[in-house]
Amino acid sequence: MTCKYSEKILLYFYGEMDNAQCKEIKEHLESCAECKKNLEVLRDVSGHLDSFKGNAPAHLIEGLIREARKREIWKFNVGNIFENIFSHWKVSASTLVFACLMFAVFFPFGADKDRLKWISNIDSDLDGLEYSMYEEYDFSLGEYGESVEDFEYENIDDEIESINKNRRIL
Amino acid sequence: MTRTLRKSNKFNAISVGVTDAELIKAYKKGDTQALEIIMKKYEKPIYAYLLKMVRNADYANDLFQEIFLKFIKNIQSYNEEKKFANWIYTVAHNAVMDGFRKNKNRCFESLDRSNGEDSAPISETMDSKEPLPENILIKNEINKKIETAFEILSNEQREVFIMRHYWGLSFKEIAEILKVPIGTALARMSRALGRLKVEMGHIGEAV
Repeated sequence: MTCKYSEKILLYFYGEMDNAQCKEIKEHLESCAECKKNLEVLRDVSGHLDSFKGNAPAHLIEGLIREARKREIWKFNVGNIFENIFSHWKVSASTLVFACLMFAVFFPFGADKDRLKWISNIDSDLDGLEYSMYEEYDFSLGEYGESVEDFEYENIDDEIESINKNRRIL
Repeated sequence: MTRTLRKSNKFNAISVGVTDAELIKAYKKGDTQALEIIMKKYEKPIYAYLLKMVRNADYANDLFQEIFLKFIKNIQSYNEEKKFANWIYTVAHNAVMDGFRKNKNRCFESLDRSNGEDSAPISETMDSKEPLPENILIKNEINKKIETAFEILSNEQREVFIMRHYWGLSFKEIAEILKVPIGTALARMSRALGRLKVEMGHIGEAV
């Protein structure tokens, strides 16, 4: 290839020239058989390359998509926790400090065992208090100055008797 | 953005002009459909480049997976401000060059002779739109000869040709990926064309 236009022909063929340069090449092509032949070969090779079906096998794409999905699941389950911790580090740090303070206040080292015992007995103490209140309460008087239990039972007995009386009449 | 992509058909998303940067942003947020669209978009140029460069379907498949796995693994650190096409093409170029270096003494069978599951005879990997059987035959014969002529080219010469054709990059962009001056890229292609012309001259006489 000896023509000085040989590289320019490439730029011309692939549309990398401005109008003025294109015009110059067109004029040159009219008189240069070598460049004409080059252009012809370029067209043939391009046609050949165009006809090539370069599609990747479907299973390759599917495999890659599966891999990407797996990574997404991991990212959302685990990665996001770390990502959030690091991206909101101020909030994370202040939460940690607060948690440490709470721990230090409520679970001091060498805590008083008796105090802890009292705390653990709090339920039974409350039960005792409730029972004593129950004992103090006066159940003897009802709304009509009678024993609540007697009043209720008496009423029931009266009702049963009246029902039976009605049955006999019928 | 993510919502838009999920609603729309993947091919529509390409046709309505969703940019690579937008797709990558969506994929970073967890939209794997965006990844699928990107892969579909770059599948043909990358795979054609790989097949033409390594001339072995199984090896091309391995490299194809390697390239996109690299993308999937490094997606969080990828800066979408960069031009994605140039990034993925550079990864593809490096993968092929690494492969050549590692397999210096390994001789691959050409596509025609490869017996891999996904490989097909060259005549079957071509689009034949000619209705007449004799035309198909002639076209296939020419394609086969051009393919053979392509094999004579050096890796560097073939690569510039393929990059320019399948990737649609300008010579300036090709030079950037290859890390050579633009004049070198042009000279490689010019020499490649010269060799092809000689080979195809014989083809013309033979066919």
